Amino acid sequence: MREDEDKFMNPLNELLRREELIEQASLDALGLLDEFEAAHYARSFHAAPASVQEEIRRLQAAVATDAALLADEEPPADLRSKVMGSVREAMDEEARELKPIATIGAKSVRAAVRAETASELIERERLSLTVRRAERVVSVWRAVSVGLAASLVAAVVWAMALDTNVQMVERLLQNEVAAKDLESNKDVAPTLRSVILAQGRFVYSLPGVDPKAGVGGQLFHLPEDGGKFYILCFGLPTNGEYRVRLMSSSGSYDLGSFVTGSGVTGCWLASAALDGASVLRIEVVDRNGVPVMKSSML
Amino acid sequence: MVFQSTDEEWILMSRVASGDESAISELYERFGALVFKASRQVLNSRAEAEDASQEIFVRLWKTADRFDPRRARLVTWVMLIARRHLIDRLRRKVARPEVLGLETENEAGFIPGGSTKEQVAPMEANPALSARIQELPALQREVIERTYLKGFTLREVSEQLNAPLGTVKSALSRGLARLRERMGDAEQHLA
Repeated sequence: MREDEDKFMNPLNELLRREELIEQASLDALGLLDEFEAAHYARSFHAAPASVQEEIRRLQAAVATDAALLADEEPPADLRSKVMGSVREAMDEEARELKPIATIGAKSVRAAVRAETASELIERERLSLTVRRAERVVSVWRAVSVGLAASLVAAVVWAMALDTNVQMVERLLQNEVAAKDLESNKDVAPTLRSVILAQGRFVYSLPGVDPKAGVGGQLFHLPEDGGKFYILCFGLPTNGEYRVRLMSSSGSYDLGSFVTGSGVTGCWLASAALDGASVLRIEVVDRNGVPVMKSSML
Repeated sequence: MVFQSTDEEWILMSRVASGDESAISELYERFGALVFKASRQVLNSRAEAEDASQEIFVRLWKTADRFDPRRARLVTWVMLIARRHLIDRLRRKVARPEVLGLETENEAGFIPGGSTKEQVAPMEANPALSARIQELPALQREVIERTYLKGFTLREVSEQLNAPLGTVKSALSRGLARLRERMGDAEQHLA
């Protein structure tokens, strides 16, 4: 590195100091940092004290709306309808592309939401899985459902199968360590069994943000049991502290934090009465507020 | 204990992500003019700026679930997505320069490095900015024109100008700050 590559050339493995953060904040807001620099900046931002973060948020908002950097022309009146038309067209296009998958998912979710008994659901899902899973995955399912129908692993596999995210199910099925750990985990197993078999419970899939990290989980909601939430996750580092946020059409909820054990972690969270509001998104974030698991759109 | 926040921006973007048209309309209401003005600043015509604005709102819908209110205000996020889209668009134009017809003869193509034919940035959309950029020290002026108005990365500009990356970053940061200060002074003077 040349000598005159000054303070901006802070090595990427070191966090930026406050002054450097402030100086780079306007470049970040204008999209002028490259991929590596932006990631470095983001890491430093998350590690900064809350007061500095707030200062940067204010500064960036001012830069983003700075009249000095914007044209002095108003948009035409018909731009709104053009924008709405373009977004609608993009949505339609995506819906056409996703239709086969969405149809399968929608049926599964509807079946899951208000089933009367666990056995009905097991049977229904077993049948649908037989149709739609790849041969290898189905054979695993058969072995589990026939041989271990009442076991915890079967129940978990069944619960996972209710979700629309097929990849998530397959990952758990393939994750022998997680399955074995779950089966032998004396803390998690009894509670999880009761959660899975609870009347009217909802299940939300939480795939890892990084698909290669082998992280995933499920959030269970028991509206008929005081609105309690229970999280099950695997693949996160041991002794990590994480927080769960849920956003519904009626507002957002901090469901509290949990600390991971080794292997699979299961933990009760706070209760919330959603009162019929739709759940829009769920996030699990680490101590720096960086999401590690995030629900796909619900 | 459950904490219920009043995180309206997060809720709005989650509604946008789920395809709620009223939320997208609200997003346009709040940021449509800003997005258009940012587009018009760097693109050659109103028609191009309108096209870009439509594409930006599609991009906002597609990326809405990534918005994190702890990281930035919503306006910052919206304008960041807009800027990234505009930079992509400017880079595509550089990669595939338009064939100049009679109507566009005065909008000369840009050659990276500026060796023979410099692009005339669409400054007619903001003559005040144009004048203020011309008043900046040479390096700051060059860096702002190449990054902000033409979409080159800082590394590319560093190579084009044969200047250290840190110096280029510093020039950009200082130049932008100076522009904002001067614009503020001018507005105060007019008032």
